[in-house]
Amino acid sequence: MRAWPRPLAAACTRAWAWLRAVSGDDAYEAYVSRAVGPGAVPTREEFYLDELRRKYSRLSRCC
Amino acid sequence: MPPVGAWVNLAGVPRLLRVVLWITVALLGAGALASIAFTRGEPVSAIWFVLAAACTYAVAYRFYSAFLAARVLGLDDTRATPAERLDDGRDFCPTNKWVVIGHHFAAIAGPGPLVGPTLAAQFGYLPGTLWLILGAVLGGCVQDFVILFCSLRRNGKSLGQMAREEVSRRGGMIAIVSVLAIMIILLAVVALVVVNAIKDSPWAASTLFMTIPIAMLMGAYMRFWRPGRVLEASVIGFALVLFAVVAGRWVAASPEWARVFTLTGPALAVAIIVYGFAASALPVWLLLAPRDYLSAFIKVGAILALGCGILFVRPAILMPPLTRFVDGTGPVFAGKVFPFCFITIACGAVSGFHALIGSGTTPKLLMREGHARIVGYGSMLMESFVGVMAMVAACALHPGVYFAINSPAGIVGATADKAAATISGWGYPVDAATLDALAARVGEHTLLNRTGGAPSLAVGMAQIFSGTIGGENLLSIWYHFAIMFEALFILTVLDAGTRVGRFMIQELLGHVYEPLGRTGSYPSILVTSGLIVGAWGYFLYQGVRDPLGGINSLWPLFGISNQLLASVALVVATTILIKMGRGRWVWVTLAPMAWLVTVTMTASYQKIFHADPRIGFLAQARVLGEQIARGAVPPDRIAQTERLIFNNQLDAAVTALFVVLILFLIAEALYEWYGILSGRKTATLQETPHVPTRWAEVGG
Repeated sequence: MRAWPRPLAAACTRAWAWLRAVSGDDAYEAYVSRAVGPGAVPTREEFYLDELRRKYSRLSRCC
Repeated sequence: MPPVGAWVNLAGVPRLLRVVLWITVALLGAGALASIAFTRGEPVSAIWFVLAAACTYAVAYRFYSAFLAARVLGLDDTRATPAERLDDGRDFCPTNKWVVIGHHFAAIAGPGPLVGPTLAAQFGYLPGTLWLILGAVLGGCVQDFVILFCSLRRNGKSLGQMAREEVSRRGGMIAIVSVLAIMIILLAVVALVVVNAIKDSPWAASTLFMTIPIAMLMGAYMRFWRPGRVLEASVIGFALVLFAVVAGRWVAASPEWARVFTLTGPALAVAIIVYGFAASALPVWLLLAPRDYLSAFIKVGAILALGCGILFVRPAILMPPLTRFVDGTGPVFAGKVFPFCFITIACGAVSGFHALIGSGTTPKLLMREGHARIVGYGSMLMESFVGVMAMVAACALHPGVYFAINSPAGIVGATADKAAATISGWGYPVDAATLDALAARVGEHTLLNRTGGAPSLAVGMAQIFSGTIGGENLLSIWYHFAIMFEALFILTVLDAGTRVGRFMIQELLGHVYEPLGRTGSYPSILVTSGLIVGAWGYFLYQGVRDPLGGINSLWPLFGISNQLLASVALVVATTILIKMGRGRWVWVTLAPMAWLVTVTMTASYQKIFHADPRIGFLAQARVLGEQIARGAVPPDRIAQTERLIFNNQLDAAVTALFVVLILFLIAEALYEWYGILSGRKTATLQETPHVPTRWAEVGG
């Protein structure tokens, strides 16, 4: 089986990364990779619930 | 449609070639606009709409937004943004600009740009299309861009905070009260659109009902089994929703199940009110969040599919450029093209609600000030294009069919024969057999009197989709997919809006009685959820019972309130420009503000005082009162008529409240402007100080 042309594969990788970032699918990984300083890093579940609480306590959708 | 200038780097192209290219784009856009404006007597291809919009957006983005960025606002990429200075990985988080565009567009694009243009199509395609394109590039995009910039320079402060700090303390309070009042009207009117789309339709109602357990299943998946795996859950949910659309046909075909899901307007209104209360009070992970993820994917997918479908099918526009209803006698809603076209289409051209998003999450994510241009101005261009596509889908219908679907029974009659005779008498020939056959082709018993815009848009979308994939065989599936898509993300706005409204009421009531301000306290949650749901539920129920269809009174009220909020945003933006010493360029916000104030004040005056009872709330109340007085109302309907009188008086009072609030804010702003410009007052700008960015050399 032939491998995908490199530019196409790179474009797909970028599109996938964009989709994950826009949807919030990679939010936990992004947070953990950036977490600095003291304090325990929350579990994935704790992080997810906290994100939802924050997101839906402010205007996030328009008319 | 992407703003071309933003995505195509022309830096390496010789200057002469660039000049020729932009002149060609401008001429092409002008030619397309001329084609849709001056063609008479024959159908225009939808391609001209796409070209007119895309070329205008490209030129506006390339030149006008660049002018705003460089001369008016002075965007400074050497200045650290709040996301860089206050980076906490959560609220403030430097984010790739393409990801921010995705977030921002998903947040601003709601049902408004789909429903508004569909309703305004009763004037013909021309007024609405011109307002969508020109209103966006000169007004809506400017508002979104400038407010985003202002918030960016103030650590991501909200519109209300900026109004308080830059205009006056009372200005901030006016903004908060306006937002709450607008949300109540917005939630009522979008719920009414859903009710009118799915009442007496077992297929549509059962499909929508099935999305609730689907969302809860997704919620459990993301909460317990695979925490935070949004994409996995969304794919599962999407597959199940597609199945639900198909299964709805089986429900409609089963006499027993069809009876269960054939719901009247009032019954559906009560069901949606109960649902709204549950969505506000239940844990967010269970219903609200998964539904939001699901609807976001379906929304973006359906919009992209509609764009591709229009390019593939290239439908002919059958609606004339101007209809006879520009004179104010329209059956969809009453009122002349000026001012009512410009408040009916709010989102898609200028929407004050966007200023709340642009001064909320978005400014806390931008890595560079320069990104505000494509995020603020560019995203609004994309929303405007969604509005143009909705206009195309609605106007591709035969005008007789469009008016049959969108007119209330009180005007065209409740039977196909009566409606066909009335509408044909207006000069838009249609026969009862055509209406019945169309309803049967989309899997419905009837499409008559489905006011609110969603069903006619769904028919238009289904025709475009089935012209691309599946042909006639899939027309009914595509119709119900389109209804489900519209209802799903309208209910998402309802869920999220009700919840935020609950928080706003908790914050306000917390000043009066502290326990009511506790967001985690269940008694407080139940009381405040009941208050917000009761408020929009009241307007929804009155809309459902309104013999003129409800949309006739509620949609203009929503349009007025949304455009008045845009006026608030532009007042704040103008004040800040004056304080920045950019008085020379103040017309960029002052001109759209003056236009919106003129439009909304005229519309408000007419909605309150117009002598025609279909337009003026007080006139309608007076006519109903006279009917009772002369004994023309049967005894068993007197109580209902008295309630209608009260509702009209209430609508008039709400409109008057909006007007008084905004006039007060404008008066405060004018006083502030005069003080600064005459030198009697020192301009105190509440900007954060300049801090150099650490990423000066980094691309992006």
